[in-house]
Amino acid sequence: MAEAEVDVDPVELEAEITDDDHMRGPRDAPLTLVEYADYQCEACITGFHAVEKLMETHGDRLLLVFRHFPLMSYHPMAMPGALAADAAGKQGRFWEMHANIFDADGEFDDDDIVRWAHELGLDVDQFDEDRHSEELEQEIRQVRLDGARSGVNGTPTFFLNNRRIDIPPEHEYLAGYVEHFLTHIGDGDLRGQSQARPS
Amino acid sequence: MDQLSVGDTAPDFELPVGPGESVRLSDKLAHHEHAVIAFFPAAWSPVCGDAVLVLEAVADELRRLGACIVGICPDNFWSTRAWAEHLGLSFPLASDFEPKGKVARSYGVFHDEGICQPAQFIVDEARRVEMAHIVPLGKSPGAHMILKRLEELRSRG
Repeated sequence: MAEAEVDVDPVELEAEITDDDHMRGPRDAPLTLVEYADYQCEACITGFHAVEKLMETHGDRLLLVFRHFPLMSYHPMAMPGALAADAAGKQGRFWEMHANIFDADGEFDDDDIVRWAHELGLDVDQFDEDRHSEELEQEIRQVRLDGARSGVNGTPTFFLNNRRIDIPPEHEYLAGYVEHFLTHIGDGDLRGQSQARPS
Repeated sequence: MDQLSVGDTAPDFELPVGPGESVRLSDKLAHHEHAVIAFFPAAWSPVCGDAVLVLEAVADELRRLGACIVGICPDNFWSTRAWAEHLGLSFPLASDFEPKGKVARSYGVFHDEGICQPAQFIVDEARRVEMAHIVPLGKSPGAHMILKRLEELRSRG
């Protein structure tokens, strides 16, 4: 793949990765991609498919961290979706619920969430209790606030090795950045030409 | 007009937010320690949508830190109001349309193409500029600079 021209914005992720994060991939991978996204955002749905493809092509060298950034004023099911994913995560099925939600292309309701919980074999009573807990919603709001403090500037926002990258959420751009970082990870040359999104 | 910088006095303004409705900066500052003034280049554009929704996502925290929020966009108020309602904004989105970009010009962030720069200012009760964050067209400024500056100001007491 041709190396991409990249623009690494000098905005650094401040919200540290912890064991509470949703992670996929080798913990000792040379690259870590942190994604902040909203389950009803069209660009995030595109981003979901791009990241899934990226995990297929580069998953052996990439640790993926997904964090919620629900835009509740605009997307009424964004927070219920985030709560459902985290509640499923308490039973070890975060990524499956996450995929179900994104595969719904932004069109899902409470009945879908309950159906997915049954299909995943969750303890649905416990799942319901967890996803309706105020504590879990507060945790998600805190993740979102910490993301905003770190420089999240839209959904989705990606940080690659702690640096924000402003790109269209498509596989070719993500893969281009990943290739660039893998090439230059030792020499610190992580800047290039701008690829600002269209206004 | 140069872009306003920290220490400058920000011009007061009154702009429409809808038919017969307006927002005046000095009125807002009569009830808040600080005002966050956010300029959005164009209603309905994807990047401005990102920018305004991130601001909305932290709006409660900004209020907790003692700030009110005023959004400004150089489109007519029918457009800005419809956009604000569409996105479910909790803060006023003012129309800087007639004369075109008058307030953006006075803050030094009007752009030649009839739009304004994506720009954010924090001003205190005396309209002294406490923060100015201006990014290139096509970029969303996020809310990190605003949050950090308001947290600093709050911790300073």
